Amino acid sequence: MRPRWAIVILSVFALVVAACTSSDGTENGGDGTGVTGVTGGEPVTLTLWAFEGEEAFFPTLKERFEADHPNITLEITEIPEDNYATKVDTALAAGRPPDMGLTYEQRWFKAGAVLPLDDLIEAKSIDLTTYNQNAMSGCRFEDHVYCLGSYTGAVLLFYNKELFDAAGVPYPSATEPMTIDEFATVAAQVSQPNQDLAKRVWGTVGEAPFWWSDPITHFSEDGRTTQGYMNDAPTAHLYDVMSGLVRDGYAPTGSEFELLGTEDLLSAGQVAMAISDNLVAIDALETNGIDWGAAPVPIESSGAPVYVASWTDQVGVFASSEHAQEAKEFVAFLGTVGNELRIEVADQLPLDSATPGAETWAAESEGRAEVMEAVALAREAVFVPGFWDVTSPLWDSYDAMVAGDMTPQEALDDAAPVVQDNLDQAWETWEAIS
Amino acid sequence: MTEPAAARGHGQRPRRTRAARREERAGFLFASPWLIGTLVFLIGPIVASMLLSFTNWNLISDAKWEGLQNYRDMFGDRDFRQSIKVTLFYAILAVPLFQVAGIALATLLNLRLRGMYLFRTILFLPAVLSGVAVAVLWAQMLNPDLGIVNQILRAIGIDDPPRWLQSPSWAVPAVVLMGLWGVGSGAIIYLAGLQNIPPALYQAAKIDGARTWRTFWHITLPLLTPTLLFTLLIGVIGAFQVFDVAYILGGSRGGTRGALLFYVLNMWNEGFRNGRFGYASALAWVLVVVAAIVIILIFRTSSRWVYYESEGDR
Repeated sequence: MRPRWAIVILSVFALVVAACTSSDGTENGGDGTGVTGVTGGEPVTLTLWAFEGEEAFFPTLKERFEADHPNITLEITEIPEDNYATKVDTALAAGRPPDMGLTYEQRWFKAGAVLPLDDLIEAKSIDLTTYNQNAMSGCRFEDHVYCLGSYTGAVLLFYNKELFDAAGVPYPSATEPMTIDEFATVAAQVSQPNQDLAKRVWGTVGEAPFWWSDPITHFSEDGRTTQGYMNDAPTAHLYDVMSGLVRDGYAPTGSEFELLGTEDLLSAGQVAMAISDNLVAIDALETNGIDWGAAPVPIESSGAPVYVASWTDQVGVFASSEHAQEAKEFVAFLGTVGNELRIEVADQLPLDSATPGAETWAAESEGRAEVMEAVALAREAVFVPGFWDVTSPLWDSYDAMVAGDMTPQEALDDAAPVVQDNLDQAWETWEAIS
Repeated sequence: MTEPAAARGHGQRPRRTRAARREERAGFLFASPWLIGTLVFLIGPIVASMLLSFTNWNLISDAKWEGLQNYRDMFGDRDFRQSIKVTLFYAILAVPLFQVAGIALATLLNLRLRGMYLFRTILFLPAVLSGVAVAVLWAQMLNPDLGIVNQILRAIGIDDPPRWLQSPSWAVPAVVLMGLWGVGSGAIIYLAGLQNIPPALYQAAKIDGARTWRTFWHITLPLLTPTLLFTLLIGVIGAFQVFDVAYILGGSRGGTRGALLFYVLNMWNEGFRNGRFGYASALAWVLVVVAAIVIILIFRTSSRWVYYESEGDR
């Protein structure tokens, strides 16, 4: 009887374990057939985790890559952006990440969870000098490159040319940023006050400067100090001008903005200028038939360097991939052919400005040409670990300034120790990664 | 007396038959998926989280033992203090209010009026809506400039209505106000309690000349106390666990000046945003201990204020 009972218990245990295992039966990028680590023409399945919303791009990318690499099947899993880092973190902890993913968290590079691509870049002779350097900052760590991308997302100043013409104000330059004071003057000039909210035209949207301005306005060059930077006189002036635009009615209040949304206001012709990202703004402006232009965001004061915050899809290869060579091959494909497909399929700006077709994309309109010019000014950024969490108290500080509860200097002085504490904690967490 | 008989006389269990043993084994066998699941997915993580609370672990590097450091760090943690303040404020405001509102509503729903079933259904409807949808809806209604709540307040002469979710002092009351909208689910539980009260007691009170308030105070409320104990426990536990509404209305930073930084939201932030899983585990254990103390206190005091009808028969 005993052996029979042992078999029954083992069977039950096996059933439970099977029930608790991944339903697709795959492991570490395996194809479910038990065949792993196959190269040289053997069938290989690569897994890629990415954000949702690439309905046009992904199917073509997969089709073209598989056509070029007949032995490789690409499986793309779309994951909501909010949960993405958590999902990758837990997959890494469980030892089951995909072969490739969007590597937005540089701590994954430091932890050795992502493979460097230097050998691939050299072998494929990929010239990174024509890639957007600010976006590529997110792919670099300790002189190594860990990821490549296919598009450029960039924070720029978009404006409505008709509203500028109506006010008789010259268009902003695509290469020379306005100072914050010049920006405020223009915003006041192009505003069209009206008691009827639906007919009002605001000069701009009073966005909190910390998310679009050069991080050097808020942090030291090594990214370790914020006190004395985020609350120095020029930065306080930056906040004073932006919050003043809201208080003076040249920019919508937070609640008006929250309900209506920047792109809606800009594309509806109710805002003359807005600091926004090219991926959303261009689509909204063109769909609504607005004659638009683009320029770099304003700078703190005359002589300050131009800054264009940029990003890309940052696809890298996870170190535990059993098909690392094939996965690197895919990243190289994305970083080269993928850039061409971005233009062809998604009508978006590629990461590499030298991509064939980029000039054609820019020639579609003056606005697009200006986007190309402005984006070309992007340069490497200061690294601040956990930037969004570190700077989160500044949202409240900015609200207090806009509401007139505190002066910008008071609000920034009040927030500086908190942001510095957050920064110290973020560096401590960063340094604990090994 | 033979020895086995003596042993039986001293309380030893009688020897089980083979059939009884087989039945016992079969019982364990059928329960084993659940037992294994509990061990692997409940007890295992609980023990792991206890151990992790003594470590510095960021999920992607090896955990480093730090002893009680995480617990010591809480004393100097601004967000920890804020999250305790917010959670306690909410619990003190929401739990009694929801109880009173629930009982009041249930009392009204217990009246014999035409169309009462329709009223009950309508009042229960918010309870079946998704919490996320409700939060998004209320966020728009409570918009300080354009939301319908402040438009009504302005229309009735309140020139400077609260800024609700954008105000550090009004954000928690705004969440409580939203919670009141869903009080119908609690009222249904009270309604079940009310309908279990024997009508004979009300008839006797009526004969004795008791008025409505005395009847409520001396009959309805005492006989509702077991239900009240249940909803109080659920309410307190729920107040300690607020997350989704706070996250949707205030984002991960917990709204304006951390006004909605509830304890569980802060715990989630520390783990999943700041990558401090050891510290987040320590926060979880502090919550468990505090919740356990509060629940034990409620149970200990319940003998003084909870009346079970069967006690009257003793």
